[in-house]
Amino acid sequence: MSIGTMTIRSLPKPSEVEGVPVEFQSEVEDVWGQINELLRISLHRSGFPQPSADLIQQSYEEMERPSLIVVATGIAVQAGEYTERYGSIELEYFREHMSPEMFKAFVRHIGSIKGRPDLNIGEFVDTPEI
Amino acid sequence: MQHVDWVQGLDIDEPVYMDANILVGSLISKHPLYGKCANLLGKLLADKVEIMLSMVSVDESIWIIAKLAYCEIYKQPWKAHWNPKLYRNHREEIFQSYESWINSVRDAVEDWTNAGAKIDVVPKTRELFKDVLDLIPVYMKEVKLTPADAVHLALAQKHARSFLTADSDFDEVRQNPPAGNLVVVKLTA
Repeated sequence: MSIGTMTIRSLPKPSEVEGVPVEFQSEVEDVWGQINELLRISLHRSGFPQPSADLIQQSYEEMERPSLIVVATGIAVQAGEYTERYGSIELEYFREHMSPEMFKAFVRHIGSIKGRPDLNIGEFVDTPEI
Repeated sequence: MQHVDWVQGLDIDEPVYMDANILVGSLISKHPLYGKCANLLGKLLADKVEIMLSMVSVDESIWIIAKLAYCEIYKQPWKAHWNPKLYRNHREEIFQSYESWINSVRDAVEDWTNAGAKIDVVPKTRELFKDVLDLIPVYMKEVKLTPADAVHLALAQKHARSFLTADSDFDEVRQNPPAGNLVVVKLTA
C-alpha cells in the first residue's frame, strides 16, 4: 500500500484578498435556495405559517434597495417610514441641542407605533373602570 | 391656576407634569398631534427639563396602546367599545401580535432616562402624597373632573409648575381656575 505525498497549498496573505470582490457561484446560490425552500415548507407543515416565495423575494429586493436613511448611529429606516416618523420633527435642531446618546434614544422611540389616523387624543380612555 | 393653549415658542416653566396623552402622542406616528407632542417632548429632553410622570399616566398610556392593538387586530375603528372584559378576552392575541407596543412606554422612558433625561415619578414623598389625596376630592367637585383626571391635576399642582395635556376635560380650569401657581398647557390640533 502506498501513501501519496501530502502537499499543503499555500494560502493567500490577507493583503492579497483585501478589496477583491466575492462572487458567489450560481450553483452555490441554487443550493441555498433549495435549502431555504425545504425549510420553509417544513416549517409551514409544522404549523408555523410562512410567507410565500414571492413575498420573500420582494422583501429581499426591498432590502437591496438603497432607500434606507440613517437617522442616528445604528438607526436606519425606509424612506416612507422616515417621512412618516421624522418628516414633521425638527431633527436638525435636536441633533445640535441633544447629546448623541439622547438624540439616538429620542429618535428610536418617537413614532415607533404606527397607529391610525382616526385616533382622537381628546377622547382617550381614562383608567379602566373595574 | 392658569390654562393656556400651547404655541410654538411658548416658555414652559419646569418641572413639568406630563399627561398620558402627550407621552403616547409622541410614540404614535399617525396620531393627529404626533408632530406637536414629539417636538415638545424633544424640546424638554434637549433642555434637560425635569419631567414628572405618575403611575396613572403610565397606566393610561398602556391602556390606550392596548386598545390600539385590539383595534388593529380586529380592524375596529378607534371609537369601538373598549373595556377590561374585552381586554381580558383578547389579552393573549394583543401580546402575541403587539407585545413590543405594550413595552414601548417602559422602553422609551428607560432609554431616555439612561441617556440623561430628568424623568421622575410622583408623588415623591409621603407628605406630598397626603397633600395630593386632600386635593383630589376638591378638584372632582370644583373642576368637575373624573377621579383619574383629579389625580393628574393634584399631582401636577403639588409637584410641577406646568401641566402638559391634550385633554379637553381640563378646559374647566380656564373658566373656573382653582388656587395655585400651576399652568395647564393644552396641545390642540
